[in-house]
Order: sequence, then C-alpha cells, then structure tokens
Amino acid sequence: MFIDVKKIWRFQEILVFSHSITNIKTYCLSEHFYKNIKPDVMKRYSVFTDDELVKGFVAGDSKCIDALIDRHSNKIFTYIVVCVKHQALAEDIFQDAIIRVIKTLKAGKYQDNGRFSSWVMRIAHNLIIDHYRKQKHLATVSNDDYDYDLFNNLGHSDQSVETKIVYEQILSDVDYLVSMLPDAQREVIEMRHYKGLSFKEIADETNVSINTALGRMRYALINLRKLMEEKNISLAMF
Amino acid sequence: MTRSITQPFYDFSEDEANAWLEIFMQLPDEMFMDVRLVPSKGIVDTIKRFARSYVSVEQLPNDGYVIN
Repeated sequence: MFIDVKKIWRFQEILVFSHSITNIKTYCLSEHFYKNIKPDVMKRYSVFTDDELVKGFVAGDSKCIDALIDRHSNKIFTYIVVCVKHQALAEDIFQDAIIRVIKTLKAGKYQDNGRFSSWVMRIAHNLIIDHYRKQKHLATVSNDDYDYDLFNNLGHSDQSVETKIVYEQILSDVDYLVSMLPDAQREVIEMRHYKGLSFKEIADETNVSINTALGRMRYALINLRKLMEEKNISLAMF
Repeated sequence: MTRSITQPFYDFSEDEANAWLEIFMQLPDEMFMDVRLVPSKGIVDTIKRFARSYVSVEQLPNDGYVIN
C-alpha cells in the first residue's frame, strides 16, 4: 500500500498546532498556516491550466479564482497602469475588470476562445476606453489665467436642466414599472431597494424563505426588463 | 488671458491603448511574474472575497413566477 509520508507529516503538523488553539478557523488565520500550509495548497492549483481553473471556479471552488487572479493580475495591472499612468485609477479599472470577469464566469457566459488572459485584458481595455470617452465628455475650456484648477471642472458644477429632467423622468418611469409588478414581487423590490432591507429581513417580514425572496427578486427584475421592452422605455441617462 | 483645457491629466488617446494592447497580447505571461507594478493587496483581497460571495442571478432558485 502506498503511503504519502509528507501528507501524514502535514496532517500531524496541523493536529499539533490545532491542539493548542481553540478551533480550526483560528488556525487558518494564523501565521503558521499562511507561511506553511497555504503556499502548498496554492502550489497545487498552480499546475492547473486556466481552463481547468475556470471550470473549477464555475463549479464552486473559490480557490480556483484565487489562483487565476494571482496568476494574471500582474500582467493585467501593468497594462492598465501603462495606459492610464495613474496607480489609483489603474486599481479602480483593475477591480472593475476582474469583477466583470467573475460575473461573466458565474453567469456561465464565458466561452473559451483562446487564452484566458487575453480575454481579461480585452475587458480591461474596454474599460480603459470607456474611461477615456467619459473624460473627453467632461473636458471643458476655461478662460482662467492659470492652466489647471482642481475645482474647476464639470464634476463640481450643478447638473444641467436637461440632466435633471432626464433623471426625474427615469425615476417616474421606474415607479411606473414597479407599480405594474405583481404584489409579492413589488413588495420585495420596495423592501430591498427603497427601504434597504437585507434578504433575511425581507424573508422575516413577509414570512417566506430567503430562497423565495431571492426568487421573487429575480422574477421582478426579469419582469421589469420585459415591461421596459414592451413599453419601449429606456432608463439610460445618456 | 489664456484658454486651456481643464483636464490635461486625462488627455490620453485610445490609439495608444490599442497599441499597448497589441504589444501586451504578444508578451508571455511569465514575463510579469516579478514585476514591481502590482495591485495593492487590499484590492486583490477585496476581489477574492467578492468572488467567494457572489451569486449570479442565473443561479438563483426558480420558485417565483412570471407575468404572462
């Protein structure tokens, strides 16, 4: 019979250390775990290909996305910094890009058409372009005597009358659409988005399970989208 | 009196980003193993926590109903 001595040693090591602490959770947060056990675990994931890690993450193994992020974050972040030349802004775009990747993977919409890193970089690229276009939109011409004034930009000015009217119109459209939902779904929308309750609180107040509350929210959103299309209503600001 | 654009910091071109994308696409991932430019640990940890807790709408249970 084959016995992996290293594994047994590791197990004993965990037992020895976990004996002196209150529970395994505390141990997992300990310095010993981070120095000795976690690198081994992550090393195991490093032998997987990107596709295998993607499949693992979609199947529910969160360590797979940790490994993917660790593997590709440097390249993606370097690309963003090179383009925007601003560390904090690059971190914002990096975060948006990875969150978009996570959402796409979880929705099962990722199609493997080549390298995973290329796909993520394309997403980051699109966000960078979005940023440029937004800034172009904000650029203004100034008659001031100095070149740059931090407080002299559109971001600090009042909204235009047109923007206010569009915004008010959108709010009234949303009210109208929500009012057309079935009672149960409208109730969940109002409690979640207007009153800011958690799904647990909504479930308690309406005497249903959390899953039912989540299901009602899902169908409320689906129905809102359907109604928007049926009534030909656009809720976009620009 | 001068007339000037108030956002000089954002005067970057899309062409530049396209050119960099082409270059980066051809660079091997291994080149970036030990670069100095890395996202802050806080950002990476936040993203990882988000990945663990995020549940897509598509994964929600189907015990609701749809308007006909």
